[in-house]
Amino acid sequence: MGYGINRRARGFAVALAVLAGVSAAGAQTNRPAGGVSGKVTDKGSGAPIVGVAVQVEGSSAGVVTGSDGSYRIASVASGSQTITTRRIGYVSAKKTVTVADNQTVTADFALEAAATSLQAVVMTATGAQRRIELGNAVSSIEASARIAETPVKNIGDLLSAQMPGVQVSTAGLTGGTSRIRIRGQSSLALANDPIYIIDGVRMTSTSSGNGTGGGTVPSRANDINPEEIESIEVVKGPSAATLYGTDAANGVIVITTKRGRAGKPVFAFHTEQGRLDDRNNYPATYSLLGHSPGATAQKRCFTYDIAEGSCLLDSATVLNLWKNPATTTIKYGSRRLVGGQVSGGSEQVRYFISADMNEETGPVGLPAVDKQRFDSLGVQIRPNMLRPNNLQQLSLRSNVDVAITPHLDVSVSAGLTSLDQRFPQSENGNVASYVQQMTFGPGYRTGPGYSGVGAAGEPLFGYAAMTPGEVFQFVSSQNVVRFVGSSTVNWRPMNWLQVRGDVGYDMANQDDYTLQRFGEGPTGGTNLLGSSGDTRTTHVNFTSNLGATGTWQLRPWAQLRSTVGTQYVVNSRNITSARGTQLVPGGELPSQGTIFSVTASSVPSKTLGMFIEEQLALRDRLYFTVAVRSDKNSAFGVNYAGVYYPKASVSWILSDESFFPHMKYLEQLRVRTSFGASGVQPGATAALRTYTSATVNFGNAAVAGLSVSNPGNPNLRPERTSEVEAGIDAKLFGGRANLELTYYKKNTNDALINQPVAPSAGVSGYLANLGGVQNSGVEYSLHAQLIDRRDLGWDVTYAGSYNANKVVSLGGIIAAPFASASVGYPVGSAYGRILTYADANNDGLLSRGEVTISTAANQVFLGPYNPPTQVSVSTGVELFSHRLRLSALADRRAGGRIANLELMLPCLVAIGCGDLQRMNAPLAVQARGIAVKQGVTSVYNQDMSFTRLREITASYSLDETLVRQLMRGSSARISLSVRNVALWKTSYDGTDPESSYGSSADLGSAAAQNVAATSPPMYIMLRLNITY
Amino acid sequence: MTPIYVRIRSVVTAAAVLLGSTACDKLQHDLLTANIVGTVTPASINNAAAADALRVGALGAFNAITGAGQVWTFSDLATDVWKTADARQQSGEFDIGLVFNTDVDLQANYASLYVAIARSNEAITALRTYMPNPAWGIGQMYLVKGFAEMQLAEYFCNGTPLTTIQNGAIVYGTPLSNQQVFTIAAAHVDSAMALFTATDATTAALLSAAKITKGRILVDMGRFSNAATAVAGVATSFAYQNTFALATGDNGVWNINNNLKRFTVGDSMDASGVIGNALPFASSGDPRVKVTGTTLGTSPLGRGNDGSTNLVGQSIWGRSDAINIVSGLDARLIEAEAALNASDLAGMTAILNTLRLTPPALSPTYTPAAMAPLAVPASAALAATLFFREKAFWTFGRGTRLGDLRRLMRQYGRTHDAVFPTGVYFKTSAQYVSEANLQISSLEATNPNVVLGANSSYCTDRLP
Repeated sequence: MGYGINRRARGFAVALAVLAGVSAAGAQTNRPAGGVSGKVTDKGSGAPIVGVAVQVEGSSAGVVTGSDGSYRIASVASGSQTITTRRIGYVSAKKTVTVADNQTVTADFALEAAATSLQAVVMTATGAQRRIELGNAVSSIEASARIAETPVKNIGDLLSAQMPGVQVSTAGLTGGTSRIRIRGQSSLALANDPIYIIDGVRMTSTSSGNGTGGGTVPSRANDINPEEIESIEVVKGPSAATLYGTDAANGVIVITTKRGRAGKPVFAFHTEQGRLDDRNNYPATYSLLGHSPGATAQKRCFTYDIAEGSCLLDSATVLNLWKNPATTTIKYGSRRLVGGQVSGGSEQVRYFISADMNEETGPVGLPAVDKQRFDSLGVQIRPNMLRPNNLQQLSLRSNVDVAITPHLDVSVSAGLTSLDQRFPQSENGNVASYVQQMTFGPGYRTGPGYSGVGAAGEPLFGYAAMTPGEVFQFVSSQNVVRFVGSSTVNWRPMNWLQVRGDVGYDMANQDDYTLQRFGEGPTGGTNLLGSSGDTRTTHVNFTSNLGATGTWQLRPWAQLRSTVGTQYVVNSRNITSARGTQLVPGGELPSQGTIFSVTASSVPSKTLGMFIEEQLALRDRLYFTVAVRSDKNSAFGVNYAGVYYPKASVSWILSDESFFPHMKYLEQLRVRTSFGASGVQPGATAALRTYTSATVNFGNAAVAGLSVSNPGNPNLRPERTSEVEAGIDAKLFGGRANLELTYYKKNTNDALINQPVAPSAGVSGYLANLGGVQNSGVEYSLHAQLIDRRDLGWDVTYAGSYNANKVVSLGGIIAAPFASASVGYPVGSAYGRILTYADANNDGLLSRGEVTISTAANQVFLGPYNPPTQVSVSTGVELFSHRLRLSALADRRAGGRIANLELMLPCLVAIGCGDLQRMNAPLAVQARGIAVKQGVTSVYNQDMSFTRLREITASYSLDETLVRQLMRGSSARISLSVRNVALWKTSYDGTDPESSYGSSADLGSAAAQNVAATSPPMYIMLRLNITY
Repeated sequence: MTPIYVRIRSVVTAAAVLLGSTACDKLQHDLLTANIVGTVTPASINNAAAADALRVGALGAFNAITGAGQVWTFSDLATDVWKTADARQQSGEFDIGLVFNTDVDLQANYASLYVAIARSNEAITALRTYMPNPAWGIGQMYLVKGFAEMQLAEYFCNGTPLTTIQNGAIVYGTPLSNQQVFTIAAAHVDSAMALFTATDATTAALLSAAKITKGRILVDMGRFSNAATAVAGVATSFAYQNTFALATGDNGVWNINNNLKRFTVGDSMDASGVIGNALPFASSGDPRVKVTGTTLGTSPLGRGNDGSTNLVGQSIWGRSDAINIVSGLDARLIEAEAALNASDLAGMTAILNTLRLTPPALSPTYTPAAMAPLAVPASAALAATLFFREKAFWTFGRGTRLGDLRRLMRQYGRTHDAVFPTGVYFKTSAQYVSEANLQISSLEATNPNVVLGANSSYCTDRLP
């Protein structure tokens, strides 16, 4: 399974050969003769800044400042040298010094903090670079600073409403997946998820687990502990992601974990305690009870029955199981986190070690009525029944940096995560959904059409077909043990040449387990006979990068930077799954089932790429970059050799030119443009003609048979997306404001589409490069420090984006009318039949004759499921000499649609139908209810626009003297934060338009839909950070 | 400072090494070779065992279009055999008899018939190459193919194409009338019978199955006396069956009715009143349709999957009980219908009464009790009504009803309103539509030879 050790060894051999080649090339070298040392401090506070990269310009010599902000670079060539500093969150600075043989010259720096300064440093595929050198927009988050102030639980929280063009949909249940889309959707048949790079190596970020087929699906991206993250850069599109190769077209999330700083050990402890409070207004259930004229038997009626005179109303009932303390599943959830970090070291060896434990219990619990019933029956109430949504995570990390010689340093990073989580069956659960039991009921406890007794003879209390307690008896858990390790070697054989090599290994052992014990759990079919499933998945990512960068001063005003590199990535997923049904009483394992089956598969995908990049800097204000990357991949068709992705960009600090007019309020202006291409590779076996095996029973004999599962496509190649972007960055009002404007247009050619084959051929469709998708849009952000006084500060960030998306081509495939992917319309389009109605007699009730529904052939385009508009506003006020910071973050999404299945499904499939069973329902609601009773569901496609006050935080830095006296620490900060504070909906009348079934799913062929999903709760968190 | 040429030389060297490393074909091949475990590729289809595995795979598809899948149950849902108790709206479309060509169940059932045809074709090719003997293997595949084509023409409208794959390329078929498809199906069953010349038990059973299938096709074509000739000699006790085991899958009728509770046994009435033309399968008490539960009142089986419709469960088949694909009972019914069409009403009645007096087993666990004999009908029309009622009870749940109702219109001159369910549909209060056949799937639009008609259908017509 997987690839053999011998093959890995060959991969290493290649890497060594390249190193040897570079070594040979660099045999002739000039050895430097002096040194540079100094201290880097914050310009405002004077505090030392750790982790600043200090480098001799035009050479590869450099170090990182220690915990006291000091640095020392040995072996610097004698003569005039320019020393530069780079650190994320600070303006880069330069100083020219004269280095003499065997002497150390001093160069101190006072750096200016800058949230989005042009001089800030970002991590790119070829290493750290100043933002001004890049022709594309890159968004960054200084994660460590954000987390210290505002508790976040995963990557999705970190990125949510933080960056223009990056859209994050939050999951409702603890452990659920956040759907992240960057600059729209480009793929019609493949996932539109960005890829993740952590400390230079690829990281598994797929969503997989027990929720498949309905319910919540956990994501491997959530395994990464935010506490360990130093910074995140989001590379938004192909124009920037070219060098990340095939698979990067949907963007790249680059994670850099924390590193140690030279100096005495610094101990930092943090803890969070908080409550999860589900304050969502879930729908109640209703009924109208009446009788037919001339009859006495009571029956359920719809509003139209009353309007039409076929029902004479006797009474109306409403039952809100969510709000009744006896029947509700809503309980307070909790979140606890405790962790510690220690970092320090010498100039030669630096370390960072961290450990975190966190536990979160979702706000879902066993209803009181179920608890009483189980107690009275003597049924054991297990933890998963009492609190079915729980997550426990232990994270350990150790990062070590060793400077072996002044020319060679090695970094080793290792992260270990152990995760246990469990979920209730919710949403469109393939076994049952507790939410559906709450919302599909009849609106009373006993009455017409509803005996109040379930299939197992249990009292139903108004739940639809079974009680939540029965649903919670079904165990659905996931256990993950994950190791992410990487090692980076930086070798500077000559002062102008740097060779970098990364080797990384990411292995996640995931165990998904489901259990329905014999005689317990959801009723229906043979469910009560019991079942157990155990799926063990090993996700492996092996990454090997090797690159060399040469820099030289062609002229005093011209510097050339050349980078060549190669990358080898192996991604594999090995799955072994066992399932048993009809368990023996007491049985919990698949092997204890009467019917037992096992499946196994191993699906590796391998990519070999290389790239060359040239960057020319003229007068340190005009930067040209050209690059090309070539990739070959095991998933490509046999007739397709490889792919080339070009890239070019220009960045120009226009305001530095002599001809640029001096403007009082404009301190700096940069214009930039870039072009680049990248791709998304098809699935590992998509190109192959494959057969599947299945056991067939015929003539009372069970025999394994074969049949074609995928016709294959030998010409299969990756989707190719090319992008042009252009923008300006301006520093205004003496650096108090930064403005970024970006326009982009990206075209996806060769988009993979499932080439339909007419059913009469008897074979399935296959993936083919047929489609075209275009995304274009604007992104903007304005950060302003409105007040920056010693005792008071006020900053505001306003950011937004608009994405216009459309299918350009389906390769001649005739889409079904009103398909969610149609030429000229967005990927994931909502259509609806036209509904007109008139209450002729003004009785407030619509009869069926008063509603007109257009034919299926007469529908209108309503909008895309993916909201094209996103705006966020964050602001912070700092008081008491900046010790207290009050901050808030709000965002708005608009223009998207969502299928409100939460209210539609009860009308379509269940006895309850709130839209037609409450007398005060608006006419529009009655009309759509009448439509859905005729099978017309598209009338429930609603505008999902909403504004959410996502978080508010009060954070206070305690007085250092007090901290020293009380805690013997050096600093302490305490934060009180509330997340998901308030929601304002435009017209959507479901619970929460952000809670969408299968939230990780793409919308190319499916609607955004709220299928009885659990909506995000409010988090109220208290956090304490102490540093020693 | 290092001379510029030294730097350039160094970078070029490094680049050359990198380029060289990625340009080496063998190394690249080694690095990019992905060992995909668990996936069978065409390289493995090169021996007799693989050819036989393809045959078994085709039998899996055959199961899916007969008693193990949903083709039978959904075609019966479009008649009076079943009513939906399903939470899924699509089932209601079948039940009321207005099935859109975009309906996912219609599309799945349409496609599954062709999958059986395509898999049997691939198996025939492989068997001819790697395993020509025993000959019954190839013959069995022809039988599967013919049976699937027969059901295609029985259920679906005129205009279904028969597409082939030649040398790996799809050659789309042109629209064919039901009669043309029946003719082709008959030819394929002939091909099967030509290969059933051996005398072993397997071959003999396959020959009987082929004879009955041929007889049924001939009945569909209106060649009643030829049909009777075709099935002559097949023992009434003969059965060619789908078999089941817990580990390999459940009886499809039991699953959708008794297990999933999506369908309930049809009746001549429901909450909206009398259903015109519908037979009282649930309420008649006829021993051939053994049921539990009631359509009206409080059913002891409770409600169906939709939570609102009374569930009536059939008791003929249990979870793993074999179900007859074709049987000697079918042969006798073919002979009875041949008698009917030969105006031998007494002969028809005699055959039916023989079955009533000595009922054959309908499943391994259920044989109906003997029933009183029928009187000879007074007219051909009454005889036809009687015959189709008898046949409906005898073949309950086995996917023959839709074809029979169509034949009542096509071969016996009955009107649509006199054959299919009529009246108010209990779920939506709309009127039953009960189209005479199922439409061609909208997915067939990829076939350049089919044309969307004026009625938004890919059928050439909707004639019975």
